[in-house]
Amino acid sequence: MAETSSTSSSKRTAFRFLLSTVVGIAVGCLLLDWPLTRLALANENFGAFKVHRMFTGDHPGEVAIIGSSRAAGSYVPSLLGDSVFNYGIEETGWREVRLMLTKELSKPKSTPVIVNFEYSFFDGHQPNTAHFIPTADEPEVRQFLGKRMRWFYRFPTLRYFGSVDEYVRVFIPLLIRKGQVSDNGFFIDKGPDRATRDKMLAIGKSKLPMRWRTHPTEEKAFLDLLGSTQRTIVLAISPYYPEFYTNFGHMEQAETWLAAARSLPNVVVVDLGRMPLPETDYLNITHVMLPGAEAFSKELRKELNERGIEL
Amino acid sequence: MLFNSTEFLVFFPVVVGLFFALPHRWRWLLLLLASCVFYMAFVPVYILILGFTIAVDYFAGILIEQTQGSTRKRWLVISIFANVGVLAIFKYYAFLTGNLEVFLASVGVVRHFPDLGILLPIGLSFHTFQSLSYTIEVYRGHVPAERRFGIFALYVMFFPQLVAGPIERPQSLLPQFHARRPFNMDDLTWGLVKMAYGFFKKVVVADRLALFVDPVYADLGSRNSFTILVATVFFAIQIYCDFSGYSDIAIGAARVMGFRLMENFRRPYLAASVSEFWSRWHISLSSWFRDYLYIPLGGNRVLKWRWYYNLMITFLVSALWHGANWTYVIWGALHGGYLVASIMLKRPSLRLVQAIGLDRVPRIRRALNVGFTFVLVTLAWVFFRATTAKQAFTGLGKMLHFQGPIAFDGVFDNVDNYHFAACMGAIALLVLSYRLPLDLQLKRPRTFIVLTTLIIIVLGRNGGDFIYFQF
Repeated sequence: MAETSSTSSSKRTAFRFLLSTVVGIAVGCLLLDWPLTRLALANENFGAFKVHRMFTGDHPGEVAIIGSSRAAGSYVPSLLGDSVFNYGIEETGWREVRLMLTKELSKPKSTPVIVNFEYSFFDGHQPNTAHFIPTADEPEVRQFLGKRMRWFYRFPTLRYFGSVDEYVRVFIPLLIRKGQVSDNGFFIDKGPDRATRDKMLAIGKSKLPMRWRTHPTEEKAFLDLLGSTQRTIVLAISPYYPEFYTNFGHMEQAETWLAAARSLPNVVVVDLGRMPLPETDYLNITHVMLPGAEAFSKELRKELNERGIEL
Repeated sequence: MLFNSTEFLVFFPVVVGLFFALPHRWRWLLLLLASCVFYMAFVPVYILILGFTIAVDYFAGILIEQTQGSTRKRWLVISIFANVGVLAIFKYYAFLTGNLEVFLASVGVVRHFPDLGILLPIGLSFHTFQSLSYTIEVYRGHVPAERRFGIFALYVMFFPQLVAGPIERPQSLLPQFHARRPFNMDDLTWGLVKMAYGFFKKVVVADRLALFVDPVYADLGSRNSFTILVATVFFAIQIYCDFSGYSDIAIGAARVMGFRLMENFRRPYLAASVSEFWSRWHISLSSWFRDYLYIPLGGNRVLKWRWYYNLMITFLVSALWHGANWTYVIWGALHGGYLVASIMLKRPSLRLVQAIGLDRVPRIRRALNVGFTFVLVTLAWVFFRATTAKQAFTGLGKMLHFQGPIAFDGVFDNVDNYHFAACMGAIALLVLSYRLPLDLQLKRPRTFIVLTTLIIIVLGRNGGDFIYFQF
């Protein structure tokens, strides 16, 4: 890099230079924040969109489905009811579900809420902060992020540092409309090839056996949250690959917790985890393919109707 | 303290502001205290090691200057022993005892050496070499011994280049601490531009490529040839951007305060031979080994076999400087071997060039040489990056016996192509930055800094440590 000829050496010139540079960066950040936020919220399948939607409107009359990627890929809203939105978010656990459910229950609504139950619900899990950055102004979200709430999440554009990838990666399939089915927050790949699916199933099987790990504080806190409302909460279990159950350890502890949930007057437990599905309806050990999701959603609707719950 | 950390974002403007606010006579103290804070952000207690080598070399320098004959040499040897001793304990003890145990076991002797359980002090090889160059230069009579302890301590500890260079020479850096440095607008803008470009290389390019390279090199055994090949090329670019990015930030940070550090990289992958590569890559270390090892061994003014020997020794020692691992030794041996081979094959290759008429098209000849040099250097990087020699040979074997589909093998759960495209985008930005007219960088520094900062914020990754910190 060659050096330029001498310019003014006064500190006043330097101050003006630094100030104008900082102002330039600040203006750039202000201008870029809008398109970046649009990008983060462009895809209704993405967690950032769902968190933002949950925190920025009451959506009266809407039935919310809350859960992880198993929820996002198992509950087809149009097959469940007229005003159902799937808030299932990839890479989430109990903490995210608690945040979303707490917010949903704070709304002046009387609709039921569906929560997808996971056997790994209470295990340790670090949230993907990219889901929460566009909504980081909300006090509940800031409290939820805790130590993961970084000082720069409150500054336009700067808040997206290191996270833009997450949004681009989900935006591109939407842009090129490649092989995804989506429906009010439900999303699923139309179907990876047989070899990929076999590989994913094999990977899942290699991780078995799984087991219920006891987390007394979290388990009680979640039961308290479920029982804290007059609204009906459907605690549903979407299908698992049969081998999951044959290998799952400490099932009796999971059943004990589910029984405690079932005893709450406003909670309805619908266990379709062992629902019979053809082998080809599974994507991997914990997730179903589109036909599996459709079959599960129809069965769930039937079960709920039989119990007098209309969505 | 990492350059790419929030702490540095606060630390640096505060230090610069205070530096120009203080009168000249107090500035050395400010910089020394700032350097202590900077270093102690890693493992505070290791500043005692730095203090030890600084004290030994400070007194050794004065005593070398004041004495004559064998006494003078003795003080140099003491300085070298103290510095190399620190390196031996902290960097090579585990390597040496581990290999010794294996060797003894092979001759039927079972012996276990105690595990000292010590972490390698950050940047140890860098500041040790910088300190060593001082006593050697005083011994040679090229610089006077520094009488002010604080200034000498600052020479070893100057925070911009303390943990990863450039490794400065006393002739260049020491007088700068004595000279008055009035505020200079050119230095400020030049320094900030250089820092912005360094951050771009590190955060936008190197950290992006690391996302692809790290998982592949974590398990070379189960990756296919194509994936390893792409990851290796990416690593070649990653390590360049990571290390030259650090050097740019260091040089820029020093320049903002008016200090001039040496350039450490000059577009090394545009070199047309391995020899030229080493005149463009990590220049401060290459020139250190040239001046303090290769030339004292006799350089190229000796018999041919001795010249080859000098080259191999220099590269093997340079390899061990990087790390105590056989992978580095093989990496150094490869580079030494490349140079020896290029000397031995000089005439035949010239005849080949003339026979096929390449000497009449120098541009094409150079382009081919650049490509060939890149291939040689990149193949050697496999050993630099792999964690064990066995892993490296596995990866190299898979690349050389190319098999399987030209497709990635599921490194990132179905988003391989996305990561690949993002890495290619980062490389494209780097190439584009090479084509930027200097005008944009220097006649419009404000525009350059603003645009680069925005690119860093939007496209950057938060990737953590610099690769060369481990040395």
